[in-house]
Amino acid sequence: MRCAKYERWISDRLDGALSGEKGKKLEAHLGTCLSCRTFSRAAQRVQQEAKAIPAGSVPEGYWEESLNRLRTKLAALSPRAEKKPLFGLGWKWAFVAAPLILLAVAGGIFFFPRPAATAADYYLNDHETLGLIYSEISDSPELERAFNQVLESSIQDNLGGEGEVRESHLENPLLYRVVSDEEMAFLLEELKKEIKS
Amino acid sequence: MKRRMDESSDEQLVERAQGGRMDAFAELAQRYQQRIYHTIFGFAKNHLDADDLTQETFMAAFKSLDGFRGQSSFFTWIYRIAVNRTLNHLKKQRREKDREELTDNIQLAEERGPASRSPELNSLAGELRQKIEEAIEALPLLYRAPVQLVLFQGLSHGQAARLLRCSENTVSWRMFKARKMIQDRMRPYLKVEESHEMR
Repeated sequence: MRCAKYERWISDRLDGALSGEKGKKLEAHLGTCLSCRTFSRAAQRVQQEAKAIPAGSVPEGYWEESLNRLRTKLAALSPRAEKKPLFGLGWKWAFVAAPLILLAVAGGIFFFPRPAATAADYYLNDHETLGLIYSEISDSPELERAFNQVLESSIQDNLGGEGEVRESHLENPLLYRVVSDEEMAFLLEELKKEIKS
Repeated sequence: MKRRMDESSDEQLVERAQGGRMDAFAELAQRYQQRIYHTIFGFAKNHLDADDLTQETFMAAFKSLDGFRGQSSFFTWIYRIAVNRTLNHLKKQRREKDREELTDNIQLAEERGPASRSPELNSLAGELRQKIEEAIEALPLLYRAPVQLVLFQGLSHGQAARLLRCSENTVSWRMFKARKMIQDRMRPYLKVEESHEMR
């Protein structure tokens, strides 16, 4: 029974998992116990021989062939690249992101005059949008405060922290930079549906 | 372009692969296919299974690459996939194959006289190695898994415990029990070797 503990320590020591204190106790025990010395020697021998067992050899050219096979299989999968458009990530994402983008759109457009040719297709009616949002959140002062903060930070983003509207801001408003025409059209359609429902 | 890939870190390649670049993932596969293959081979012990499971591992990794958040290294992550898939594969096989092999091995060992096979010490050492390999293969998977990871792959008890989803103490205990089982099986061979050494 006593030796079982030391035999386990011998095993741990071979794995590099025996603490220094236990190691000293083990050494002292091995000096007096023939049975444990025998176990230790045999375990070391097995360990040494096991580690010398050669790794499985592979046929010549196998690694390249295996890699080519993998490439073919990967290519057969639907390419990851196809699912990368910003708004092509699925409805879960859209539901989370829609209110935030709506706020950004509302914030961005409400305070900035835009070139008529592009603005007409991109934006909801400003007053209608903000009115809808405020009517939705009017029961909650916290939400209203949070919404105001979002609006404020959106404006600051557009101003670039400079506190005044410059020509470049008008030419390159917030969402123009990151959303394609097609994506914006899609987004607005979905937002309209959300608001109607 | 190829050179740029070669020089990229794993993290950069993972990011590109997550962005849809298959060549980036292929580069990662090239970096680790040998280590993954040899790890799997250590468990599976045959080329065909090791080949299949290596391919499956990389395919599974590619499919779930979006879930990789970089909390561990890419290699640790894919290594875990490889070990888990291999263990699952072996568990499926175990009922039919392993039990038959175990029975065959035991019968074989009983039929063969250790001294009669190789009287010279050198060839005895070679045979000893072969017998150790057989003894390890004959271990129940519960014990063979930590032996493969700790003894052959050089993982710590802690690392093996995380892969096998058990405690370090359990790995320590299983390693000890595995060594006892291997030694029990090897006793005739080890004794013969001792007697040769004493001459």
